[in-house]
Amino acid sequence: MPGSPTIWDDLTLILPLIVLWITSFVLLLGDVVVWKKNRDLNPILAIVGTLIALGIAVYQTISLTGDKAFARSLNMDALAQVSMIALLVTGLLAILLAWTYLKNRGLERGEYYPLMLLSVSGAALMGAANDLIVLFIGLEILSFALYVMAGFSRSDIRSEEASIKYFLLGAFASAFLLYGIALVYGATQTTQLSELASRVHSAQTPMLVAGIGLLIVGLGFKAAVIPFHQWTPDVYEGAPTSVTAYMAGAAKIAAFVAMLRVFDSLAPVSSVWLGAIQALAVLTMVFGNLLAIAQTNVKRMLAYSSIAHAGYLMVAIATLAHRLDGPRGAQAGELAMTGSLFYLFAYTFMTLGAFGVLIYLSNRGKDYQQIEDLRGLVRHDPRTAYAMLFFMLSLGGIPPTMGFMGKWQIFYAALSGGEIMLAIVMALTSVMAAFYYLKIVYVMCFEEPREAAPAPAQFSFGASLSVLLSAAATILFGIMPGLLYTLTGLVR
Amino acid sequence: MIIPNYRLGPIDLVTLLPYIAMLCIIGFILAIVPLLIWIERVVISLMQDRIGPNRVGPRGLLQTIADGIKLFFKEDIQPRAVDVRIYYLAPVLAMIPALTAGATLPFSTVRFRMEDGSVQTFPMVVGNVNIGILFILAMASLQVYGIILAGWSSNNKYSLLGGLRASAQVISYELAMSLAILSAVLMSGSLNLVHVVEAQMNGFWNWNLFAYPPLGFIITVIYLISMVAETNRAPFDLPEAESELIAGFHTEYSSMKFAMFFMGEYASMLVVSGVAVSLWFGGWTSPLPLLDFIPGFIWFLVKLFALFFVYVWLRASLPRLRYDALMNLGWKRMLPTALVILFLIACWNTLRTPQAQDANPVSEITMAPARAAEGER
Amino acid sequence: MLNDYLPVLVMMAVATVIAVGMVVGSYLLGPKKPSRFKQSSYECGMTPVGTARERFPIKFYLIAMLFIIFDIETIFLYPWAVTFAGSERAVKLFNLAEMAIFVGILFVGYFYILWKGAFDWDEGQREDAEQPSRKIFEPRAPIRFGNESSGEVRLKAAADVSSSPTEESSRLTHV
Repeated sequence: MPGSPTIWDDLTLILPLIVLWITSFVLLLGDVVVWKKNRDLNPILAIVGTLIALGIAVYQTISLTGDKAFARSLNMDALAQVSMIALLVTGLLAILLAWTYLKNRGLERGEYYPLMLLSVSGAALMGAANDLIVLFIGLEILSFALYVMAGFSRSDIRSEEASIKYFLLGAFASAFLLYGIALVYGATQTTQLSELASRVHSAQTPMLVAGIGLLIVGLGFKAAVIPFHQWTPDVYEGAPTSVTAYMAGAAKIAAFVAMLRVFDSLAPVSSVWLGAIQALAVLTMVFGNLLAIAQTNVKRMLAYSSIAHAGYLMVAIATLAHRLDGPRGAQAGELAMTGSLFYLFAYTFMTLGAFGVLIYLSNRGKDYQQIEDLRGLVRHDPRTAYAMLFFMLSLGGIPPTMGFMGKWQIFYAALSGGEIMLAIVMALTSVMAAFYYLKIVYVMCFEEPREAAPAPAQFSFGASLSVLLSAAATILFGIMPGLLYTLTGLVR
Repeated sequence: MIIPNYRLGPIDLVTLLPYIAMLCIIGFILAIVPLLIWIERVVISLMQDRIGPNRVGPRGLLQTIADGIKLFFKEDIQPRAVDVRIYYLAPVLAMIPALTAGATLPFSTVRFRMEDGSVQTFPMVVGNVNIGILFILAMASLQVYGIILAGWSSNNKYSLLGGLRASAQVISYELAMSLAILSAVLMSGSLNLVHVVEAQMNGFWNWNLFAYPPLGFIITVIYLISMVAETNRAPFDLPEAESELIAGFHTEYSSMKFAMFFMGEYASMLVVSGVAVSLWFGGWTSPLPLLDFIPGFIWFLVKLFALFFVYVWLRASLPRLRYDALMNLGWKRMLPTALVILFLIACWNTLRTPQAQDANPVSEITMAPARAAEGER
Repeated sequence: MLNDYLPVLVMMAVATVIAVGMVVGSYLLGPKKPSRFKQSSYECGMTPVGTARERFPIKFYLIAMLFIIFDIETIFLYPWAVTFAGSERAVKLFNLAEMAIFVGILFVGYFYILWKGAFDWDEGQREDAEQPSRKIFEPRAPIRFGNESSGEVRLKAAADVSSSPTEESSRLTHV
């Protein structure tokens, strides 16, 4: 029967994921048996695998072959494919960052890249889930790999602490999420998101409300939303910096794409959850930025800044609630969808870039983590300092950068959706955020270095390429956001 | 032999059958353990050219019964260092699953003449449930709780080591065991042991032992090995190694609590042997159709005692394994072998299945319901 | 359907009664003549040293974790086996392919841990393990029994240790 979809069509749709899986299996076994000591092969093969997957994903996205797959449990639509592209880019940049960083610290164990590729695939599954169970499985694949990677530096006690803390809290949050799924299933007799959208309106029971609440807790934990954020600073600080960079990008993308999907299909009952999301958004924006100001460690500061960015993205999700309120609301919902995807891209580039600068500097031998370490950087390493400057400006949302474009889109969506309060809080807290981002710029550029001239950074191809790519993307898409609109615009 | 279905008010014999089977199993286990111990001692002494028990009763037959009565009246010592509640709980936990695990094990059939004159055959089984094998596996793995809790609560180094070793060993071999059971499930297509046995009727050439030669034979051997290891018997009796661990997890146990671990061990030996009989050796059915007049439970008992003899034989002939050799055998040999054989059996089974007349492309059949729900998109 | 389970439950209850009855019966029937040495932990007739609530090798945890992984995989195969046997050839082929992928992935993990040495109970089996032959002539550290610091072994102190697990030992049990 021509035209009827077969299992091969389903498999073709997840071809990028299959490539990732095969690559990680090859790496896993190859490292143990085939090329035991030649550790440089690992990142190279990982990059090749990711590039192939990225190529397929881009081709599939452009050729608009999106479809539901595997008995409607996966929804490989444009949102899934674009988020997969974002995740693969994150993975690529993170592999480049990890290359010399791991080598310098003797952490070059073969498990690193397979774990990373597997977690990318888990995150992509989360973004493609049309079924709450698949969402949960994706979340677990993502998280398990991250738990292990956070503790990758086995001799470092803080890395171990980060891993255990992340694992215990993460397991707890997974239980919340699973319980929420169970309750939502109990209220609506379905776990499929597309079914949920049509049934949820007639099933407004306390069970549904409790289920949605638990879903918010479970997903909010992954997205690091206050008050479920406690793990973030410790894990970001303790984990090896290359892991932190990856985790910051991938976990955030996965969590928010999943949230976009879930709350998109829960939009008919937005009265149930809108208040909670608004409150969480305000809390996250205000306290994330306030706490970031007090930090002296760059990794911790970036952790709190990632919390604050989660707050901005929550605004987009709150805007989604108005999707069904007439044409204006529908337009706002679409804007929120595309805007948050754009924002996720921007966030990935600038966060990975900022961590990349730290990693690049750390090639000198000592770990660059404190703000003090960056004092007077522009004097002895101007190029790196300027890269950091760009990332800080972008994170702070200063105009010619990508961060501004992303923030502006969400801001605009919130305004047109009628979330005036949230938009105002967002604007105010962004001003607050500029303080601590610019503090780093100030320390780097206007203070005298403490030491005369530290040893020049050992050149690292991977880290410099990664930072360069991130910086280029930050500026390019900041000046010409239309290039990325063609991609994110597919989502509507 | 056909029994009329006696009826007393709302209760008839057919309804009572599971409870009769229950009494048979529990009574059998409790009554047969002394006999089994006697058999073991006599067989081993004969194999080692000794005389063995010969004082109490004819050929020492009552020796173990006397031992049991003696244990009942011995002092119940409770060492100071133990964790009292768990210390008393452990033998109970070791005993309950051992006695209960036989619940889904069919050991015979009974033919009843019903009220309307028809004759119907019923299996003698406590729970004729469709997850019979899973129940037995669950019970078998529950036993490890009794062992590890006994080892831990005794607060004795030997007990702790014995308990740890026992639990590690049991869980290691449970994998191979459940994979072997899985192959039998694949051969018979049911988790209900009654159906598994019924698929092997009419002669020994239908037994799963001889199915898919030689795969059925290999997987049977794997099951038998892991069965011995699962019950911590020689040559896999490291947890109880007298010479190095002083009986392991039950060092601190005295009187009847000590005897309960013993009884639990023998009971689980009986149960896993019974499972082996049902899965591979045709259960209660007779090996030749012309021997069908002999009742089913006799065949079951014969096969059961044959397997018990294998246990004793192994104990008399083989030296104890080293612990790393034990673990290597379980994880590096039996687990992959069992998985590969399972896969081969599945392939063979597929090849043997005749092609359906109106064969559809694979994907359409399996994805059809899901696609239908999707409608035209 | 559920009625079939009732006899199983009854059997469990009967087994519980028998097991508890045995413990209680021997508790009631046996004589009670406790003495200090009879009640001390058994260590081959020597005075017990320390407590048994010690740390034990991490390998047991490793085995337990690996067991859980493989056991769950095996349990996943059970429903597969039941449906497999009853289906027709075309479906069987499809299910076989699915199972091949599943077992293939399982084997990737299996060979990874196998070659990584997680199943090697004895360190000496590892490829990168130190060869014992080199060390055989070096002087060994004196064997420690754990009671050197307490000087002469006194019966009373040892009995105290065995009677009540010390605070230190109760902390160690979590390890």
